[in-house]
Amino acid sequence: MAKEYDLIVVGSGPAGAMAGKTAAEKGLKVLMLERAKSPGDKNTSGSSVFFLKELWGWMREGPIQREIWGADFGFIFDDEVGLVRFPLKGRHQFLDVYRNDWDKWVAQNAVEAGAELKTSTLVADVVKDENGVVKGVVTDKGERIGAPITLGCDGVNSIIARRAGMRGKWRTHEIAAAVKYDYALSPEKIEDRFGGQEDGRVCFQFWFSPEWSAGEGSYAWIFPNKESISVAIGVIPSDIVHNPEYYLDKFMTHPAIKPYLKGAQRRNRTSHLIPMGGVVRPGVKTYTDGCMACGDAAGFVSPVHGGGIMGAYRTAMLAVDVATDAISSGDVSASNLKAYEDKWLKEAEPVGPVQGASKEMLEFTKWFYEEVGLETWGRLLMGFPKAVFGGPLYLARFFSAQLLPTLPKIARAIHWVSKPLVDLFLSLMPKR
Amino acid sequence: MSEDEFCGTNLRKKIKGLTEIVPGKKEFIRVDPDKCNGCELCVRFCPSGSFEMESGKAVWKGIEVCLEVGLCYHVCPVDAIEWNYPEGGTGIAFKHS
Repeated sequence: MAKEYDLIVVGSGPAGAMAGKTAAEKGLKVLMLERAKSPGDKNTSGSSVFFLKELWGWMREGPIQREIWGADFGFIFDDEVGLVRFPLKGRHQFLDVYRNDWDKWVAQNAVEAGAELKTSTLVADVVKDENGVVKGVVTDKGERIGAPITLGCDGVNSIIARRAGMRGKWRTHEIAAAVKYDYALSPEKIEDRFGGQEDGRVCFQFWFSPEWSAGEGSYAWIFPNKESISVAIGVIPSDIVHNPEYYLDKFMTHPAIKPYLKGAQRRNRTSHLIPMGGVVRPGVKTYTDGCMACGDAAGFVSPVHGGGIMGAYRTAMLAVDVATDAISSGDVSASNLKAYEDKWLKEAEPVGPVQGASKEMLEFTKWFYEEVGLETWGRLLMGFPKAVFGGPLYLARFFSAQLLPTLPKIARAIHWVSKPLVDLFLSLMPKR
Repeated sequence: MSEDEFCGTNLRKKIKGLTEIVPGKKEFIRVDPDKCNGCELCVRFCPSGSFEMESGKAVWKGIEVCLEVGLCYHVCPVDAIEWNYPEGGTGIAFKHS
Protein backbone atom coordinates (compact mmCIF):
# COMPACT_ATOMS: atom_id res chain seq x y z
CA MET A 1 0.00 0.00 0.00
CA ALA A 2 1.29 3.40 -0.94
CA LYS A 3 2.43 5.64 1.85
CA GLU A 4 -0.03 8.51 2.08
CA TYR A 5 0.61 9.84 5.56
CA ASP A 6 3.44 9.61 8.07
CA LEU A 7 1.02 8.85 10.87
CA ILE A 8 -2.62 7.73 11.11
CA VAL A 9 -4.31 8.55 14.39
CA VAL A 10 -7.53 6.65 15.00
CA GLY A 11 -9.79 8.73 17.22
CA SER A 12 -9.80 12.42 18.11
CA GLY A 13 -10.52 12.29 21.83
CA PRO A 14 -7.88 13.35 24.37
CA ALA A 15 -5.26 10.87 23.09
CA GLY A 16 -6.03 11.29 19.39
CA ALA A 17 -6.27 15.07 19.33
CA MET A 18 -3.09 15.45 21.40
CA ALA A 19 -1.28 12.96 19.13
CA GLY A 20 -2.48 14.90 16.07
CA LYS A 21 -1.41 18.21 17.54
CA THR A 22 2.01 16.99 18.71
CA ALA A 23 2.72 15.19 15.42
CA ALA A 24 1.71 18.20 13.30
CA GLU A 25 3.93 20.45 15.40
CA LYS A 26 6.81 18.07 14.76
CA GLY A 27 6.18 18.40 11.03
CA LEU A 28 4.66 14.96 10.41
CA LYS A 29 1.92 14.50 7.83
CA VAL A 30 -0.79 13.26 10.16
CA LEU A 31 -4.41 12.17 9.65
CA MET A 32 -6.94 11.93 12.49
CA LEU A 33 -9.94 9.68 11.88
CA GLU A 34 -13.08 10.33 13.95
CA ARG A 35 -16.23 8.19 13.81
CA ALA A 36 -18.52 10.97 15.09
CA LYS A 37 -19.72 13.90 12.99
CA SER A 38 -17.60 16.15 15.12
CA PRO A 39 -14.88 15.46 17.74
CA GLY A 40 -16.31 15.31 21.26
CA ASP A 41 -19.76 14.08 20.19
CA LYS A 42 -19.12 10.64 21.67
CA ASN A 43 -17.29 11.77 24.78
CA THR A 44 -19.17 11.62 27.99
CA SER A 45 -17.11 12.05 31.11
CA GLY A 46 -18.28 15.58 31.70
CA SER A 47 -15.71 15.93 33.57
CA SER A 48 -12.84 16.96 35.65
CA VAL A 49 -9.53 17.32 33.93
CA PHE A 50 -6.40 16.81 35.95
CA PHE A 51 -3.52 18.69 34.41
CA LEU A 52 0.07 17.97 33.71
CA LYS A 53 2.06 20.99 34.88
CA GLU A 54 3.62 21.45 31.43
CA LEU A 55 0.18 21.88 29.82
CA TRP A 56 -1.33 24.13 32.47
CA GLY A 57 -0.85 27.43 30.63
CA TRP A 58 -2.18 26.21 27.30
CA MET A 59 -5.18 24.41 28.79
CA ARG A 60 -6.45 27.43 30.69
CA GLU A 61 -7.25 28.96 27.30
CA GLY A 62 -9.76 26.16 26.62
CA PRO A 63 -13.55 26.07 27.17
CA ILE A 64 -13.50 25.73 30.96
CA GLN A 65 -16.68 25.33 32.97
CA ARG A 66 -15.25 25.94 36.44
CA GLU A 67 -12.00 25.82 38.31
CA ILE A 68 -11.80 23.45 41.25
CA TRP A 69 -10.23 24.57 44.52
CA GLY A 70 -11.06 21.63 46.74
CA ALA A 71 -12.20 18.05 46.91
CA ASP A 72 -14.98 16.77 49.16
CA PHE A 73 -14.70 13.14 50.21
CA GLY A 74 -18.01 11.79 51.48
CA PHE A 75 -18.70 8.52 53.25
CA ILE A 76 -22.16 7.05 53.65
CA PHE A 77 -22.73 4.27 56.16
CA ASP A 78 -26.08 2.82 57.24
CA ASP A 79 -26.41 5.13 60.24
CA GLU A 80 -24.23 8.11 59.47
CA VAL A 81 -22.73 10.36 56.85
CA GLY A 82 -19.35 12.10 56.88
CA LEU A 83 -17.90 14.68 54.53
CA VAL A 84 -14.28 15.87 54.63
CA ARG A 85 -13.13 18.83 52.55
CA PHE A 86 -9.56 19.12 51.26
CA PRO A 87 -8.32 22.40 49.78
CA LEU A 88 -6.08 21.57 46.82
CA LYS A 89 -3.75 24.54 47.47
CA GLY A 90 -2.05 24.24 44.10
CA ARG A 91 -0.82 20.69 44.71
CA HIS A 92 -3.02 19.48 41.90
CA GLN A 93 -4.75 21.43 39.16
CA PHE A 94 -8.28 20.41 38.26
CA LEU A 95 -10.77 22.01 35.92
CA ASP A 96 -14.34 21.04 35.20
CA VAL A 97 -15.11 20.95 31.49
CA TYR A 98 -17.72 19.59 29.13
CA ARG A 99 -15.91 17.04 27.03
CA ASN A 100 -18.08 17.86 24.00
CA ASP A 101 -16.66 21.39 24.00
CA TRP A 102 -13.24 20.48 25.31
CA ASP A 103 -12.39 17.67 22.88
CA LYS A 104 -13.60 19.82 19.99
CA TRP A 105 -11.25 22.58 21.12
CA VAL A 106 -8.22 20.28 21.41
CA ALA A 107 -8.96 18.73 18.00
CA GLN A 108 -9.29 22.25 16.57
CA ASN A 109 -5.84 23.01 18.01
CA ALA A 110 -4.51 19.95 16.20
CA VAL A 111 -6.06 21.06 12.92
CA GLU A 112 -4.64 24.56 13.35
CA ALA A 113 -1.21 22.97 13.92
CA GLY A 114 -1.55 21.26 10.54
CA ALA A 115 -3.17 17.89 11.25
CA GLU A 116 -5.82 16.63 8.85
CA LEU A 117 -9.16 15.60 10.40
CA LYS A 118 -11.61 13.24 8.72
CA THR A 119 -14.92 12.90 10.58
CA SER A 120 -17.91 10.50 10.24
CA THR A 121 -15.35 7.80 9.51
CA LEU A 122 -15.34 4.56 11.46
CA VAL A 123 -12.19 2.48 11.23
CA ALA A 124 -13.24 -1.13 10.72
CA ASP A 125 -9.89 -2.87 10.81
CA VAL A 126 -6.13 -2.50 10.54
CA VAL A 127 -4.34 -3.49 7.34
CA LYS A 128 -1.38 -5.83 7.81
CA ASP A 129 1.26 -7.01 5.36
CA GLU A 130 2.29 -10.66 4.94
CA ASN A 131 4.60 -10.37 7.97
CA GLY A 132 1.83 -9.07 10.22
CA VAL A 133 3.16 -5.50 10.26
CA VAL A 134 0.40 -2.88 10.52
CA LYS A 135 0.50 -0.78 7.35
CA GLY A 136 -2.61 1.34 7.80
CA VAL A 137 -6.34 1.07 8.30
CA VAL A 138 -9.51 0.31 6.40
CA THR A 139 -12.68 2.35 7.05
CA ASP A 140 -16.27 1.09 7.25
CA LYS A 141 -16.79 2.36 3.71
CA GLY A 142 -13.93 0.16 2.52
CA GLU A 143 -11.39 2.95 2.01
CA ARG A 144 -7.79 1.91 2.69
CA ILE A 145 -5.38 4.48 4.10
CA GLY A 146 -1.68 3.79 4.51
CA ALA A 147 1.04 5.08 6.85
CA PRO A 148 4.19 3.60 8.40
CA ILE A 149 2.70 4.01 11.89
CA THR A 150 -0.88 3.81 13.15
CA LEU A 151 -1.82 5.07 16.61
CA GLY A 152 -4.85 3.47 18.26
CA CYS A 153 -6.43 6.32 20.22
CA ASP A 154 -9.90 4.85 19.92
CA GLY A 155 -10.82 4.43 23.54
CA VAL A 156 -11.73 1.64 25.93
CA ASN A 157 -13.38 -0.49 23.21
CA SER A 158 -10.40 0.08 20.88
CA ILE A 159 -10.78 -1.65 17.54
CA ILE A 160 -7.12 -0.97 16.70
CA ALA A 161 -5.70 -2.48 19.91
CA ARG A 162 -7.81 -5.61 19.49
CA ARG A 163 -7.39 -6.06 15.73
CA ALA A 164 -3.66 -5.39 15.87
CA GLY A 165 -3.41 -8.12 18.50
CA MET A 166 -2.28 -5.94 21.41
CA ARG A 167 -5.05 -7.18 23.71
CA GLY A 168 -8.36 -9.04 23.86
CA LYS A 169 -11.49 -7.72 25.51
CA TRP A 170 -11.03 -6.56 29.11
CA ARG A 171 -11.85 -8.97 31.92
CA THR A 172 -14.92 -7.93 33.93
CA HIS A 173 -12.89 -6.88 36.98
CA GLU A 174 -10.65 -4.70 34.80
CA ILE A 175 -13.35 -2.24 33.79
CA ALA A 176 -15.85 0.04 35.48
CA ALA A 177 -19.22 0.89 33.96
CA ALA A 178 -20.07 4.53 34.59
CA VAL A 179 -23.53 6.07 34.26
CA LYS A 180 -24.01 9.81 34.48
CA TYR A 181 -26.85 12.33 34.60
CA ASP A 182 -26.48 15.99 33.73
CA TYR A 183 -28.62 18.41 35.75
CA ALA A 184 -29.18 22.09 35.03
CA LEU A 185 -28.81 24.12 38.24
CA SER A 186 -28.43 27.84 38.86
CA PRO A 187 -24.86 29.11 39.44
CA GLU A 188 -25.89 30.58 42.81
CA LYS A 189 -27.16 27.22 44.03
CA ILE A 190 -24.04 25.48 42.75
CA GLU A 191 -21.78 27.92 44.59
CA ASP A 192 -23.92 27.63 47.70
CA ARG A 193 -23.81 23.83 47.73
CA PHE A 194 -20.27 23.14 46.52
CA GLY A 195 -18.10 25.53 48.51
CA GLY A 196 -18.22 28.41 46.02
CA GLN A 197 -15.61 31.14 46.29
CA GLU A 198 -15.99 34.75 45.17
CA ASP A 199 -14.21 33.96 41.91
CA GLY A 200 -16.66 31.12 41.18
CA ARG A 201 -14.30 28.29 42.04
CA VAL A 202 -15.97 25.27 43.65
CA CYS A 203 -15.26 21.84 45.16
CA PHE A 204 -16.02 18.54 43.48
CA GLN A 205 -17.35 15.62 45.45
CA PHE A 206 -16.45 11.94 45.68
CA TRP A 207 -18.74 9.60 47.61
CA PHE A 208 -17.81 6.21 48.99
CA SER A 209 -20.26 3.80 50.57
CA PRO A 210 -20.82 0.10 51.15
CA GLU A 211 -24.55 0.81 50.91
CA TRP A 212 -24.87 1.55 47.22
CA SER A 213 -21.42 0.83 45.90
CA ALA A 214 -20.79 -2.53 44.34
CA GLY A 215 -17.26 -3.70 45.05
CA GLU A 216 -14.60 -1.53 46.64
CA GLY A 217 -13.37 -0.17 43.32
CA SER A 218 -16.62 1.70 42.93
CA TYR A 219 -17.43 5.29 43.84
CA ALA A 220 -19.85 8.07 42.93
CA TRP A 221 -19.10 11.69 42.09
CA ILE A 222 -20.68 15.09 41.57
CA PHE A 223 -18.84 17.57 39.35
CA PRO A 224 -20.16 21.15 39.42
CA ASN A 225 -20.10 22.97 36.08
CA LYS A 226 -21.04 26.59 35.33
CA GLU A 227 -24.82 26.15 35.26
CA SER A 228 -25.14 22.42 35.73
CA ILE A 229 -23.85 19.46 37.70
CA SER A 230 -22.75 16.00 36.56
CA VAL A 231 -23.84 13.17 38.87
CA ALA A 232 -22.33 9.78 38.18
CA ILE A 233 -21.33 6.42 39.56
CA GLY A 234 -18.84 3.83 38.41
CA VAL A 235 -19.41 0.17 39.23
CA ILE A 236 -17.30 -2.92 38.58
CA PRO A 237 -19.15 -5.46 36.37
CA SER A 238 -17.66 -8.48 38.17
CA ASP A 239 -19.16 -7.25 41.45
CA ILE A 240 -22.62 -6.02 40.48
CA VAL A 241 -25.94 -7.86 40.50
CA HIS A 242 -28.12 -5.05 39.11
CA ASN A 243 -27.95 -2.59 36.23
CA PRO A 244 -25.50 0.31 36.89
CA GLU A 245 -28.58 2.57 36.84
CA TYR A 246 -29.83 0.85 40.01
CA TYR A 247 -26.73 1.93 41.95
CA LEU A 248 -26.84 5.47 40.60
CA ASP A 249 -30.51 5.72 41.55
CA LYS A 250 -29.65 4.52 45.07
CA PHE A 251 -26.99 7.20 45.28
CA MET A 252 -29.13 10.05 43.93
CA THR A 253 -32.13 9.20 46.14
CA HIS A 254 -30.07 8.87 49.34
CA PRO A 255 -31.17 11.45 51.97
CA ALA A 256 -27.58 12.75 52.20
CA ILE A 257 -27.37 13.39 48.45
CA LYS A 258 -30.87 14.70 47.70
CA PRO A 259 -30.19 18.23 49.06
CA TYR A 260 -27.40 18.70 46.48
CA LEU A 261 -29.81 17.89 43.64
CA LYS A 262 -32.83 19.84 44.94
CA GLY A 263 -34.39 22.02 42.24
CA ALA A 264 -32.03 20.65 39.57
CA GLN A 265 -33.44 19.85 36.13
CA ARG A 266 -32.42 16.55 34.56
CA ARG A 267 -31.15 17.09 31.00
CA ASN A 268 -29.45 13.97 29.79
CA ARG A 269 -27.95 10.61 30.62
CA THR A 270 -24.74 9.07 29.36
CA SER A 271 -22.76 5.93 29.99
CA HIS A 272 -19.24 4.73 29.33
CA LEU A 273 -16.68 2.10 30.26
CA ILE A 274 -13.47 2.94 32.10
CA PRO A 275 -10.46 0.60 32.04
CA MET A 276 -9.39 0.19 35.68
CA GLY A 277 -6.40 -1.05 37.55
CA GLY A 278 -3.34 0.65 36.14
CA VAL A 279 -1.42 -0.06 32.99
CA VAL A 280 0.93 -2.93 33.68
CA ARG A 281 -1.21 -6.04 33.33
CA PRO A 282 -0.87 -9.50 31.91
CA GLY A 283 -1.92 -9.91 28.31
CA VAL A 284 -1.93 -6.22 27.36
CA LYS A 285 0.68 -4.78 25.02
CA THR A 286 0.87 -1.11 24.11
CA TYR A 287 2.85 -1.54 20.88
CA THR A 288 3.29 -3.96 18.02
CA ASP A 289 4.83 -3.83 14.53
CA GLY A 290 3.81 -0.48 13.00
CA CYS A 291 1.27 0.34 15.68
CA MET A 292 0.94 1.76 19.21
CA ALA A 293 -2.05 2.30 21.51
CA CYS A 294 -2.55 5.40 23.69
CA GLY A 295 -4.97 6.43 26.42
CA ASP A 296 -7.97 4.25 27.28
CA ALA A 297 -7.26 2.00 24.28
CA ALA A 298 -4.29 0.56 26.18
CA GLY A 299 -5.77 1.07 29.65
CA PHE A 300 -3.80 4.16 30.67
CA VAL A 301 -5.90 5.41 33.55
CA SER A 302 -4.78 6.40 37.00
CA PRO A 303 -4.78 3.37 39.29
CA VAL A 304 -5.60 5.77 42.11
CA HIS A 305 -8.77 7.50 40.90
CA GLY A 306 -9.55 6.01 37.50
CA GLY A 307 -9.11 9.31 35.65
CA GLY A 308 -7.80 8.81 32.12
CA ILE A 309 -7.65 12.16 30.35
CA MET A 310 -4.17 13.10 31.52
CA GLY A 311 -2.84 9.60 30.89
CA ALA A 312 -4.21 9.90 27.37
CA TYR A 313 -2.50 13.26 26.74
CA ARG A 314 0.79 12.08 28.16
CA THR A 315 0.94 8.72 26.36
CA ALA A 316 -0.08 10.38 23.06
CA MET A 317 2.88 12.77 23.41
CA LEU A 318 5.26 9.89 24.23
CA ALA A 319 3.96 7.76 21.34
CA VAL A 320 4.42 10.61 18.86
CA ASP A 321 8.01 11.12 20.11
CA VAL A 322 8.73 7.45 19.49
CA ALA A 323 6.88 7.48 16.15
CA THR A 324 8.87 10.49 14.92
CA ASP A 325 12.18 8.75 15.65
CA ALA A 326 10.97 5.46 14.17
CA ILE A 327 9.73 7.10 10.96
CA SER A 328 12.96 9.03 10.41
CA SER A 329 15.05 5.89 11.05
CA GLY A 330 12.76 3.84 8.77
CA ASP A 331 12.41 1.07 11.36
CA VAL A 332 8.84 0.75 12.67
CA SER A 333 9.21 -2.80 14.00
CA ALA A 334 7.99 -3.73 17.48
CA SER A 335 11.58 -3.97 18.73
CA ASN A 336 12.09 -0.31 17.83
CA LEU A 337 8.68 0.84 19.11
CA LYS A 338 9.44 -0.76 22.48
CA ALA A 339 10.96 2.64 23.29
CA TYR A 340 7.33 3.72 23.92
CA GLU A 341 6.95 1.21 26.74
CA ASP A 342 10.35 2.16 28.15
CA LYS A 343 9.16 5.77 28.24
CA TRP A 344 5.76 5.31 29.90
CA LEU A 345 7.18 2.86 32.44
CA LYS A 346 9.30 5.74 33.74
CA GLU A 347 6.29 8.07 34.07
CA ALA A 348 4.67 8.89 37.40
CA GLU A 349 0.96 8.53 38.14
CA PRO A 350 -1.46 9.11 36.38
CA VAL A 351 0.41 7.50 33.50
CA GLY A 352 2.95 5.19 35.04
CA PRO A 353 2.57 1.85 36.72
CA VAL A 354 2.06 0.78 40.32
CA GLN A 355 5.07 2.49 41.86
CA GLY A 356 3.71 5.81 40.63
CA ALA A 357 0.41 5.04 42.31
CA SER A 358 2.10 4.18 45.61
CA LYS A 359 3.91 7.50 45.55
CA GLU A 360 0.62 9.29 44.92
CA MET A 361 -0.97 7.40 47.81
CA LEU A 362 1.81 8.38 50.18
CA GLU A 363 1.37 12.01 49.14
CA PHE A 364 -2.36 11.68 49.69
CA THR A 365 -1.87 10.31 53.20
CA LYS A 366 0.51 13.12 54.07
CA TRP A 367 -1.93 15.62 52.59
CA PHE A 368 -4.82 14.11 54.61
CA TYR A 369 -2.86 14.61 57.82
CA GLU A 370 -1.67 18.14 56.97
CA GLU A 371 -5.00 19.41 55.74
CA VAL A 372 -7.37 18.01 58.30
CA GLY A 373 -5.34 19.17 61.29
CA LEU A 374 -5.89 18.21 64.90
CA GLU A 375 -8.91 20.41 65.54
CA THR A 376 -10.93 19.25 62.54
CA TRP A 377 -9.88 15.71 63.19
CA GLY A 378 -11.17 15.95 66.76
CA ARG A 379 -14.45 17.48 65.62
CA LEU A 380 -14.94 14.79 63.02
CA LEU A 381 -13.98 12.19 65.58
CA MET A 382 -16.76 13.30 67.91
CA GLY A 383 -19.17 13.75 65.05
CA PHE A 384 -18.93 10.70 62.87
CA PRO A 385 -16.76 7.95 64.34
CA LYS A 386 -17.65 5.35 61.76
CA ALA A 387 -17.26 7.67 58.82
CA VAL A 388 -13.93 8.98 60.06
CA PHE A 389 -12.41 5.61 60.85
CA GLY A 390 -14.37 3.62 58.33
CA GLY A 391 -13.83 6.19 55.58
CA PRO A 392 -10.05 5.87 55.34
CA LEU A 393 -10.36 2.10 55.74
CA TYR A 394 -12.80 2.09 52.90
CA LEU A 395 -10.50 4.32 50.85
CA ALA A 396 -7.62 1.93 51.51
CA ARG A 397 -9.67 -0.96 50.20
CA PHE A 398 -10.77 1.20 47.28
CA PHE A 399 -7.19 1.98 46.31
CA SER A 400 -6.05 -1.60 46.67
CA ALA A 401 -9.00 -2.67 44.51
CA GLN A 402 -7.76 -0.36 41.76
CA LEU A 403 -4.49 -2.20 41.74
CA LEU A 404 -6.00 -5.68 41.87
CA PRO A 405 -5.66 -6.59 38.19
CA THR A 406 -1.95 -5.93 38.33
CA LEU A 407 -1.27 -7.78 41.58
CA PRO A 408 -0.18 -11.38 41.95
CA LYS A 409 -2.73 -13.94 43.20
CA ILE A 410 -1.45 -13.89 46.79
CA ALA A 411 -2.03 -10.14 47.10
CA ARG A 412 -5.52 -10.52 45.65
CA ALA A 413 -6.27 -13.20 48.24
CA ILE A 414 -5.18 -10.85 51.03
CA HIS A 415 -7.47 -8.14 49.63
CA TRP A 416 -10.51 -10.40 49.69
CA VAL A 417 -9.67 -11.88 53.11
CA SER A 418 -9.45 -8.37 54.53
CA LYS A 419 -13.07 -7.62 53.57
CA PRO A 420 -14.71 -9.41 56.54
CA LEU A 421 -12.14 -7.76 58.82
CA VAL A 422 -13.15 -4.32 57.54
CA ASP A 423 -16.81 -5.23 58.02
CA LEU A 424 -16.10 -6.46 61.55
CA PHE A 425 -14.26 -3.26 62.42
CA LEU A 426 -17.13 -1.15 61.11
CA SER A 427 -19.72 -3.15 63.06
CA LEU A 428 -17.73 -2.65 66.28
CA MET A 429 -17.55 1.13 65.82
CA PRO A 430 -19.78 3.07 68.23
CA LYS A 431 -22.90 4.61 66.69
CA ARG A 432 -23.28 8.33 66.60
CA MET B 1 -35.03 -10.25 36.45
CA SER B 2 -36.40 -8.78 33.24
CA GLU B 3 -39.23 -7.26 35.29
CA ASP B 4 -36.69 -5.13 37.17
CA GLU B 5 -37.47 -1.43 36.69
CA PHE B 6 -33.78 -0.75 36.05
CA CYS B 7 -33.25 -2.99 33.03
CA GLY B 8 -34.49 -3.90 29.59
CA THR B 9 -37.65 -2.23 28.27
CA ASN B 10 -38.42 -0.61 31.65
CA LEU B 11 -35.07 1.15 31.63
CA ARG B 12 -35.59 2.22 28.02
CA LYS B 13 -38.87 3.89 29.01
CA LYS B 14 -37.27 5.53 32.04
CA ILE B 15 -34.47 7.15 30.07
CA LYS B 16 -36.46 7.94 26.91
CA GLY B 17 -35.68 11.36 25.48
CA LEU B 18 -32.53 11.84 27.56
CA THR B 19 -30.07 11.14 24.74
CA GLU B 20 -29.72 12.48 21.21
CA ILE B 21 -29.31 9.65 18.74
CA VAL B 22 -29.08 9.64 14.95
CA PRO B 23 -29.98 6.02 14.15
CA GLY B 24 -27.96 4.45 11.36
CA LYS B 25 -29.40 2.01 8.86
CA LYS B 26 -27.36 -1.01 9.84
CA GLU B 27 -27.78 -2.98 13.07
CA PHE B 28 -24.26 -2.90 14.46
CA ILE B 29 -24.63 -5.28 17.42
CA ARG B 30 -25.94 -8.81 17.07
CA VAL B 31 -26.41 -11.72 19.45
CA ASP B 32 -25.48 -15.07 17.93
CA PRO B 33 -28.47 -17.27 18.89
CA ASP B 34 -26.37 -20.42 18.53
CA LYS B 35 -23.85 -19.21 21.10
CA CYS B 36 -26.27 -17.41 23.50
CA ASN B 37 -26.83 -19.48 26.66
CA GLY B 38 -29.75 -17.35 27.87
CA CYS B 39 -27.99 -16.08 31.03
CA GLU B 40 -29.60 -12.61 30.62
CA LEU B 41 -26.49 -10.75 31.83
CA CYS B 42 -26.64 -8.37 28.85
CA VAL B 43 -30.34 -7.74 29.50
CA ARG B 44 -29.65 -7.05 33.14
CA PHE B 45 -26.57 -4.83 32.76
CA CYS B 46 -26.99 -2.88 29.49
CA PRO B 47 -27.07 0.82 30.56
CA SER B 48 -29.51 1.64 27.76
CA GLY B 49 -31.76 -1.42 28.18
CA SER B 50 -31.06 -2.46 24.59
CA PHE B 51 -31.47 -6.21 25.07
CA GLU B 52 -34.61 -8.30 25.45
CA MET B 53 -35.21 -12.01 25.86
CA GLU B 54 -37.08 -13.77 23.08
CA SER B 55 -37.69 -17.51 23.43
CA GLY B 56 -34.82 -17.99 25.82
CA LYS B 57 -32.25 -16.01 23.80
CA ALA B 58 -31.09 -12.39 24.11
CA VAL B 59 -31.96 -10.10 21.20
CA TRP B 60 -30.49 -6.64 20.56
CA LYS B 61 -33.08 -3.87 20.08
CA GLY B 62 -30.83 -0.88 20.50
CA ILE B 63 -30.66 0.92 17.16
CA GLU B 64 -32.47 3.96 18.62
CA VAL B 65 -31.20 3.83 22.18
CA CYS B 66 -27.71 2.26 22.23
CA LEU B 67 -25.16 4.36 24.14
CA GLU B 68 -22.17 2.54 22.57
CA VAL B 69 -20.83 1.55 25.99
CA GLY B 70 -19.51 -1.95 25.29
CA LEU B 71 -20.56 -3.44 28.63
CA CYS B 72 -22.65 -6.19 26.91
CA TYR B 73 -19.83 -8.00 25.12
CA HIS B 74 -17.56 -7.67 28.14
CA VAL B 75 -20.03 -9.40 30.49
CA CYS B 76 -21.15 -12.06 28.00
CA PRO B 77 -19.66 -15.31 29.34
CA VAL B 78 -19.87 -17.14 26.00
CA ASP B 79 -18.79 -14.31 23.64
CA ALA B 80 -22.12 -14.50 21.80
CA ILE B 81 -22.28 -10.74 21.15
CA GLU B 82 -20.82 -9.51 17.88
CA TRP B 83 -20.10 -5.95 18.90
CA ASN B 84 -19.21 -2.98 16.77
CA TYR B 85 -19.66 0.76 16.68
CA PRO B 86 -22.42 2.23 14.50
CA GLU B 87 -21.27 3.42 11.07
CA GLY B 88 -19.40 6.72 10.92
CA GLY B 89 -21.52 9.82 11.57
CA THR B 90 -24.44 7.92 13.19
CA GLY B 91 -25.37 6.89 16.73
CA ILE B 92 -25.18 9.02 19.83
CA ALA B 93 -24.13 12.67 19.76
CA PHE B 94 -23.97 13.80 23.35
CA LYS B 95 -24.72 17.34 24.46
CA HIS B 96 -23.96 18.75 27.91
CA SER B 97 -21.55 15.96 28.59
